[in-house]
Amino acid sequence: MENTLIPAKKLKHVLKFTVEKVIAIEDELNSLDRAIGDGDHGANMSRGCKSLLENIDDIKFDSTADVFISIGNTLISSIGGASGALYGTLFINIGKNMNTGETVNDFIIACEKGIDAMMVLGSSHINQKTMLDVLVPVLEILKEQQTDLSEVARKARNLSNSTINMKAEKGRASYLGDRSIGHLDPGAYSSEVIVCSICEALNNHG
Amino acid sequence: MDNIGIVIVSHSADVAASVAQMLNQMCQNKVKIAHCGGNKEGGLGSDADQITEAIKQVWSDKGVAIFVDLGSTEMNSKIAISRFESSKSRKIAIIDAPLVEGGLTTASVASCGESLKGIQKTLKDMSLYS
Repeated sequence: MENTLIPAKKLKHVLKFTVEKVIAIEDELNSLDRAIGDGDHGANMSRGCKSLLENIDDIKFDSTADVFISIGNTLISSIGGASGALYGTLFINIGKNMNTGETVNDFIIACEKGIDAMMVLGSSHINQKTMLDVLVPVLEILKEQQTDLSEVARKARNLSNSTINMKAEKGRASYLGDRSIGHLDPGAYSSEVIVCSICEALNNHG
Repeated sequence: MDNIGIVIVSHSADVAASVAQMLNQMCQNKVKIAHCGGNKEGGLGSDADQITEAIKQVWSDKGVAIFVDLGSTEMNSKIAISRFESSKSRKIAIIDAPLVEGGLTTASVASCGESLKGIQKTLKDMSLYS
């Protein structure tokens, strides 16, 4: 089991730590979304994360694949919006693609499949002011065998900030056209917080 | 009933119910129509579980046409479709047309037995995205 990516017990800690961080930024996410969307990204993410906390003892932390699939299903059924569909699809597809093995390399390959599935679902790609502007480059950093998680987190923050100058081409923000420029994308920010929280949780209890 | 089924999905449960009411009048109940809208807590949004149930309710071997409004209704509809076996999922289509006008036209032609492919062809001029 030495080759296992994250031992089950640690995974539970990482999940708890991450969802608590996302719940804590509910108001911040809502206010970012009020500027260029419909103002409910924080409420939606918080609802999904609270549902994960409530159901955390029902998740079987025996296999990493099953944990990711459970997380995805809970997010889809509890959020009821685009963020649930997108993050849910990401996690379900990470889980489904981890059944061959649970090493770091297996995880990175599974993440790539998960992000691909998100792109298909949202018919989107990078530079459109979305979650992908954080997730896709973070994946590239991981593929380069970056093992310093503080560095991954630092890059995730920079990536999310880079959406400020982008014009939205997806979601409700796209209705605003050029007026979306100058605002941080709420989806990119929630992705930043998820990535940074996972890195922090792994660093503190690695 | 040898006609396709129709599912109306909106961010708002009220909008979905009202659009379905208009469609029912148009097709004189010759087409099965299901509607759903909002999240599980009764707020605005969309819910893949409700959409899955709606598809089951109106299932027809001739196929099911889904009409959506905003982004997440389309994404959650895609997730709902992916939950069916491929023999069924290939007969379910999200139609690229406005919810009300597209739905009304479909209800009308579906009541005369039009196929899913025929409906997609009929609504091509109403396309919002291509």
